[in-house]
Amino acid sequence: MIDLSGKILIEIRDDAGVSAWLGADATRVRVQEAKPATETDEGDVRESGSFVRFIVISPLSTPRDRRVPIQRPTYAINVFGLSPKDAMAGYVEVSDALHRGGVRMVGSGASRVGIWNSWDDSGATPEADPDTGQPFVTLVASFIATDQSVAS
Amino acid sequence: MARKPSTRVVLNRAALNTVDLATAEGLEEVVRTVVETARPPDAPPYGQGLPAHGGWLVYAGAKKVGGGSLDGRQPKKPRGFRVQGSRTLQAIAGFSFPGRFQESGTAKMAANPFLTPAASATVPHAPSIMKPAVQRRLR
Repeated sequence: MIDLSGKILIEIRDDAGVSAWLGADATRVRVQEAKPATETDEGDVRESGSFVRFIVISPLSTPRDRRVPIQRPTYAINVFGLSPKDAMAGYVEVSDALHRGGVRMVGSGASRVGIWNSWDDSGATPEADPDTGQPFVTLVASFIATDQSVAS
Repeated sequence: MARKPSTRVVLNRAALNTVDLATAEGLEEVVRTVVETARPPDAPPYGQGLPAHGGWLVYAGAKKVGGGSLDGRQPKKPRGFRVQGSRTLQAIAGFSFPGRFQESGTAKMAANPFLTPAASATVPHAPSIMKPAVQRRLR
């Protein structure tokens, strides 16, 4: 079964609207958790007053259809912004990117999969992160995709 | 100490026709199963964390016709949950406040989903879960 997480990260990161919203932080789209701080990089999680925009995609569940090679994964996508309004602006871009996707083929070689559809399944409202207070919104994204590679 | 279901629930159930009530009871079995099979992450003091407080609600139109929780109390309807229409059955299941941060993660904590996997595992079996409750009411 092919995991879509990395492909979704690339799709969202490379979307023009999301990239424009992220601005100088255009690579700050992560899977599972925010980038931790290192000696050379402060990471994604900052204290109040020095927040940066970033997005974290977390797999929630990956149910498969019976007898057909189809998966219907859902993801929680946390969009962290500089303010509640800014986080909502980022949410709108991510939501639009999901809806714009439509029917497409992603990946290459043995990991090339077909995505039938993707959509924002929840809507969102801004809230504050319990640890840092950074404004963010959570949306649930749903996909219908093949769970095996599809030849080109 | 566990509270009994409110009288309002009983009165609203009586107002439903038998088929709607049977379907609502079947639906309640599904959401109850989701909550009971979910395994929220625990932390010290074990068994006392708020994420352990799971509950479910069933509405027929705007009327509450069922509900319960793991600790026996009737949960309150979340503000974001809209109930409307007279012929619509809706059911929700969830865990109390910190549960959502376990489910979807925070800036410093990776997601540890427990409710969505339980729902995904339960929903395909919904007909067989609903059947006994529906049959009991319609017999």
